[in-house]
Amino acid sequence: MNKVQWLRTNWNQSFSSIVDSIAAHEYRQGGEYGFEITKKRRDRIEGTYYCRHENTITYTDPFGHEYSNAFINFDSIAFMLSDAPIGMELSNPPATTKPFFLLLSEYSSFKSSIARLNISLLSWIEEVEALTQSVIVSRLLYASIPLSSHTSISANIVGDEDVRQYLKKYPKGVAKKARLEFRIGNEVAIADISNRATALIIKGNKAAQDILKKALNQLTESKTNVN
Amino acid sequence: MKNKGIFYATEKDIFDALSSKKKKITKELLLDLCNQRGIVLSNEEDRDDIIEYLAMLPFSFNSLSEITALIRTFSRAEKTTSSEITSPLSVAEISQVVSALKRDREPNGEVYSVISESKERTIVKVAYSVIDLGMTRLRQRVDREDIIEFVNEAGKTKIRRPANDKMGEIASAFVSEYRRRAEKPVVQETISLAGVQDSKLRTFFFVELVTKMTNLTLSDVTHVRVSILGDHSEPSDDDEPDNEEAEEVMIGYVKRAALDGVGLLYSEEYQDLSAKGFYISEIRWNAIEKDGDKNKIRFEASFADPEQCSEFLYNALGYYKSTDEGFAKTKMTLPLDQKNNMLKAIEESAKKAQAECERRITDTKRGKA
Repeated sequence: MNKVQWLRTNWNQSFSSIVDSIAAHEYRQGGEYGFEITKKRRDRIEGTYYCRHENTITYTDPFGHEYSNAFINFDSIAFMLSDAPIGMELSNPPATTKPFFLLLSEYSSFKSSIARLNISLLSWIEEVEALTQSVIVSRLLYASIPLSSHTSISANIVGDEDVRQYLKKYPKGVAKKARLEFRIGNEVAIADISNRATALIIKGNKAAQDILKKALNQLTESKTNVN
Repeated sequence: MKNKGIFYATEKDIFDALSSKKKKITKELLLDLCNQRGIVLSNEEDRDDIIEYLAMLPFSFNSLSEITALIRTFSRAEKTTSSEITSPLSVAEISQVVSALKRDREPNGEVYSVISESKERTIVKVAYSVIDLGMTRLRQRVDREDIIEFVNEAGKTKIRRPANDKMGEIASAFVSEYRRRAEKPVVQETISLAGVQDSKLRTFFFVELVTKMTNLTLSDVTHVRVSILGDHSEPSDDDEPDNEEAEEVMIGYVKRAALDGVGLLYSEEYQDLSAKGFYISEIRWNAIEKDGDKNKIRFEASFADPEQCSEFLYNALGYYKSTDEGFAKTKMTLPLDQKNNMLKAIEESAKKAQAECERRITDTKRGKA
């Protein structure tokens, strides 16, 4: 399983200078932080960010002797950055990405912005449908369905068929999460996607991820349904 | 009445005092005050009725002091400010100047004491009263004690003090008195961006401040207040605008904005304001210690006058203890010696940032010339 997150970026600075800054900070053994670059072009860079944490635990035994153990762990973030509006793709990001974002911000002289996307999930699915065949939404978390002016509900709709047909009765709800099944050639891909532009690829390969990303880019290019 | 003190409390004063702080002066506490006098009241009684009853009882000095202690307001951690004078001051010199201040100012109710902590660090303790006539009578006078620190570093003396009017007045009086006595001219240096009229450079100062602190790594910026340069004041009635101008006056504008959140420096909202010419005038951030316990320290910095960017104020607000799973959720108070180290780190970083701003201005001028 691979969790992917796409983010909107505005570098406000020549992207090639950011590429150069990243490339200049290669991770070296024992270093505090740095990057391992796998692909590099003037308008795109792929790699992994590493940050080393060293902590010491001190404890006292029943005889009053003090011992300390130093332990080291690493945060790593696999990333793809580009000059496009959705200029950041993170694979299996850890809980906190702040040090990585701060570093990128520093490389752009604190002129860049990085923001989570808030998209229309149903429109994203429609874009996926335009790129591939047999798209089935087997699960859907549909929220903020108004029952009256003061009451709303959320529903988790699950089925063996495409559940979107049942949304027609409640056009005012917001689709938050969905499980998508679609075909790429002879393969079936399964992914959980959300309106914050994240995808958990449960079954499928890089091709599934590429289709989701392409659909997301097309959605952004149309400049509707994106906040 | 010289010090505007009150010598007795009427039933109205006691009623106002007991009514003023509902969270601190609970019904249970009021019933307890009655119990201490051998009066048993039902806890079914209304809070206001108990207060009204209590206020009619006689209060001794000690029982009145107990109430005033309960209603005392503790202000939030006060910011610090500092300046440097370009000559090292000895303890003897500080004591001499303080003696002169004593003569002039002790009649105002200020009490001074000089404590020499080390050769480099001398403390002047000042006890004084603050009168706030806007408060209820029993809360109008607050006794306070603040310190002014004199730290000798690199041939200069840093004067660090709480950023309040009284301490500002005393520190100015101290410097004036020292100037009067000194044989050589005394220069006082402060952190100020009053001469910097470029919003990008003003923001640059704060970015440098938070990113270049010695032995600390910036973790996050969680609050910024941004202001805009230029005259955005509302026109006075005397300035009768003609029709065209009147139309322009009707256009709304933002003079200052405060942003709270996480990752503010790379947020779209902050970047939008920055691109429109807003500069940072106040910032709150977290930084992680590179050595030692590797705790996360919370800082704040601002200018007392955000438009002029004068009188630099700062504070180390506390720390989040480093744990196996990251950092503790509760902020702890910094021990005094550690707080002093953190204040020193801000001061050094601010000085470097100011010097870098000045260097850039000089470079730009040279470029133009």
